[in-house]
Amino acid sequence: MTMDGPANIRLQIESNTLFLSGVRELVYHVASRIGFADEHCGQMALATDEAICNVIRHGYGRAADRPIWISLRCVGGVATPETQGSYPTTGLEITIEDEARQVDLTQIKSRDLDEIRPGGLGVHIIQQVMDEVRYEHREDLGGKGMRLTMVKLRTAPTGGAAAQQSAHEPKPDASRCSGGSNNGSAQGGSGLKQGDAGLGNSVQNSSIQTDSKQTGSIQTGSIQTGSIQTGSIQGSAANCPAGDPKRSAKEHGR
Amino acid sequence: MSSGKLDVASRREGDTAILSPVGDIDINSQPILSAAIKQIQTDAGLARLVIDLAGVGYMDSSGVATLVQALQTARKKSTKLVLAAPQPRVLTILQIARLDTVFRVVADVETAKTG
Repeated sequence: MTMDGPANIRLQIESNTLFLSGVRELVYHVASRIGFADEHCGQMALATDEAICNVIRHGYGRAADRPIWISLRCVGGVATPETQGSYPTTGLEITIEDEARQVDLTQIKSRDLDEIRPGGLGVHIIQQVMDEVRYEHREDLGGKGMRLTMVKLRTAPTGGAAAQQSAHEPKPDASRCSGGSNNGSAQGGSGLKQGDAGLGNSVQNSSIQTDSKQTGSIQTGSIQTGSIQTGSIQGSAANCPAGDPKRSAKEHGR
Repeated sequence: MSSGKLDVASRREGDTAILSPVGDIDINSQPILSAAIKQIQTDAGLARLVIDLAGVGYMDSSGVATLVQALQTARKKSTKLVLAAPQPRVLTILQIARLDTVFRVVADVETAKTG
């Protein structure tokens, strides 16, 4: 699906994880207002969250002061004050742009989901919940900058854009655990990798894809209001999870 | 939708520890949960850690990574890790990650104490 025309909303944020919840709110509520089901609103918020996380982690090496642009385009148009109550939007296109170093898309590999280890799920999630996922090199920044375009169809059936690769996701490492436990009890921990909370890719059957995939999405929960109780802890950009910087740098060639 | 904040309460019942995060678990708040889990998992005599997810309305892959790390530690220490009462939205992300069958997931904390 390719859309022409300007975005309905274009937002620039700093690459500070503190702003993630605000962006999620924006995506969720805009999607809701243009007629998406609650569940799909949450899916798009989740996909946007994952995409921005990848930019911050892998594109900008966790720097908190770099620009990220988020654009929302309502495919099919939106209601005007004169047409309130109508829902002409057929899809929502979400574009995430950065000015980070460009990555060779063909070099980006996904890991096997059978590897039970932290990290490597961001792109997989995006592909599962969105109908179209496309990574590109920006052509307007003199050889730098990545663009991720994601589309969710308003009447998407089941399925998802399960075949795509990330521009900002790490390649798999050799860590592996036996997995398969359904009781959380101890079992062969050899090879388990610790201290890697970075979220990379995890897509089997991945391939670069540019065409719209209208097979819908796996049902992902929506984001909802969470009440705050017992104290007041709030993370900051300085509290980014302890990913493996070597992995991020190496696997993204950054 | 929420503010993105996260609070974590914990309590100990015999050899079982119950951790109750409330709020959103994302890349920004994940270190709070991770630190709480790590602290509990170093407690002497711990046989079972229950993470009560009833108060978690949003979790991204950062949260999933934290839980996987906790599971790995539990396995190393030969202790049990049980996820209790996840909201459908949280359970779904575990399903997408194909981890819903890797973790022990139960409907409520009481079941998690014995299940």
